Amino acid sequence: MNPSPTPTTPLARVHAAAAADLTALVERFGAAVAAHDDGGAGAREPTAVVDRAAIADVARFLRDERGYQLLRSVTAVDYLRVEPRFQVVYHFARIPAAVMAGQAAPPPDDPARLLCVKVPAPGDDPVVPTLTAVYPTANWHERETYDLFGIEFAGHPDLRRILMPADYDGFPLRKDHPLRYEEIAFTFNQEAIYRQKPQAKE
Amino acid sequence: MKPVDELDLLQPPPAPARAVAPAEPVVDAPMVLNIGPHHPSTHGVLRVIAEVDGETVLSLTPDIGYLHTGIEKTFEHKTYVKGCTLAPRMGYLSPLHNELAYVLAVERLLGVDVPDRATVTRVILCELDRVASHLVCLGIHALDLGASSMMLYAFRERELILDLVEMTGGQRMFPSYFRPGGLACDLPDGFREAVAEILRRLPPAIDEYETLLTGNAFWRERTVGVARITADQAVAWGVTGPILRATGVAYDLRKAVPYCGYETYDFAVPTATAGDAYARYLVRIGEMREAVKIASQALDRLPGGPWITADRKVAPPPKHELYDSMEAVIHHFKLWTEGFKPPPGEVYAGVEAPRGEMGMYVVSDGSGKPWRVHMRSPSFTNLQALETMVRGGLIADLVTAVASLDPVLGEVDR
Repeated sequence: MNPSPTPTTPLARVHAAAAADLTALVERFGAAVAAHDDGGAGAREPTAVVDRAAIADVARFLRDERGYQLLRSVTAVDYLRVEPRFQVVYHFARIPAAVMAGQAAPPPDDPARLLCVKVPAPGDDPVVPTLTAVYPTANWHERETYDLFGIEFAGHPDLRRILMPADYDGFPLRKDHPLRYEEIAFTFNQEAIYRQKPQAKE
Repeated sequence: MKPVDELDLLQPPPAPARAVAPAEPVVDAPMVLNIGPHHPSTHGVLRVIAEVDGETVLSLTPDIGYLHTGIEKTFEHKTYVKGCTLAPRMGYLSPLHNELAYVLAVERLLGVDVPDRATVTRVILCELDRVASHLVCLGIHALDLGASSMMLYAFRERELILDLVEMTGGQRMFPSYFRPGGLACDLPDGFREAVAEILRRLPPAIDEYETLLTGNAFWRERTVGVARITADQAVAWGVTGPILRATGVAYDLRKAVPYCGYETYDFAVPTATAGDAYARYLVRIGEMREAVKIASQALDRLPGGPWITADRKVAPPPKHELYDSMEAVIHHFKLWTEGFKPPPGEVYAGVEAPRGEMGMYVVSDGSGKPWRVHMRSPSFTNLQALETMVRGGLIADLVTAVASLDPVLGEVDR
């Protein structure tokens, strides 16, 4: 990692601006923050890895005290064979007050801010508290994550499948779910097929 | 701004007095009305289950997923360059913005520089893509409300833009013209003239649309005060794009989180405050005018030079190098068999698509195929606000609400 001293591109300035919020988050939730990345002076989006028990409080803190009114997206990543297997990924954004009031260009001292928070969830117990009470938009995003990954959001008001048919068996975006079908293993190819299990390829 | 906790999200703002008051309900039990999934006014395969009392909508449940193709899963099994053909297929009315978001995310993973010619070309094409998308929205919106001639006018200009897209990438709707590091090939001869001709024809055409609709009494009667949402509700539902800007919030990623050098262009972000279907219409008309402004500025500064990065680990070598350079042959072979391998990491790249924030979240594990690609599509997120817009209103206004939301169901279901 080689941090550049001053952010030069507009994107880097946006990333660098959120580093202060990340510091505040780490200070407040020190014990619950497993890891954090300040983005290297704007090279990346500042990111915190937060314990799942604290995510609702972290979201409330970001929204009420740091002004992140917009939850851009909720999704998950399946790191098969790594524990904790899943990471639920939240992307937050702060709309500057001037922009909320109708001014197009954010003032230089108050740019838009982007922040990413990740919550690990173990493979044998993929349950994460819901954020629907803090960010209503999380409703469909969490349903989608549940539908495709099988991660349950505790306390969600309406946790049903949203994209797949209601009677579908399995969670398609998990890495051990085949893209089309499980290849049939014969004696001549079973070694090659078993080698890549449980990550199903075709 | 009101805290989200105190918001009643399903409570529409108090309605202005309408000329015709909704009829008093006669029957006590509400009727459950199924609309779609193939109803012509649902803009794709959207099913809406409405509970109605007389003409009044009591509650509404959108049912989506009919166009789900598992495109995110498919991404994981293709090399990064092949992903360029998948991204536009998700949202077929603004394909170039989807491509752009994907390409930007991959470029940030790679840390590769893009030549100016490619960046400026992207701006030109994306702004015209925005106009083409808004033209479909406008034409279909008017068609849904019974003004069928508007669609013919809107599609007349859209055709010009699709012809231009065909010139560049070879296809009208899914050109896959943007590639990590630049463009798929150099701009064709006559590109500059073709863009200039479109930019010359668009402003009078937009004036013409306005004469058809802006002051039209029927249009205003069907859209003013209909399908309203407040700024606080819109932000809470994660709504972005013209729908958010029609509530007075000037959040536009081209200004707030600039990409492709948008900070160097001179343009305004049209907003309105009413938050109804008519305000969204005005914002979209304003955005088309601004898009023409941006595209003309970009055309003026369109430089010559390379159109794709010279980094041979990312972009394939030109044909003539293959004849006498062993290294070029190796690069070519490696790129077409394995693809390039970005370092492990993850990037969320957001662009201001015609419907709002189009975000691509790409995770690399260091191999030639992405470990995970997630698309934050604006249509999906915006559609959640549909119930807020129509609850308590007339069932006929549901058509206005869906049309003014302008969802692309391919993008909703992915």
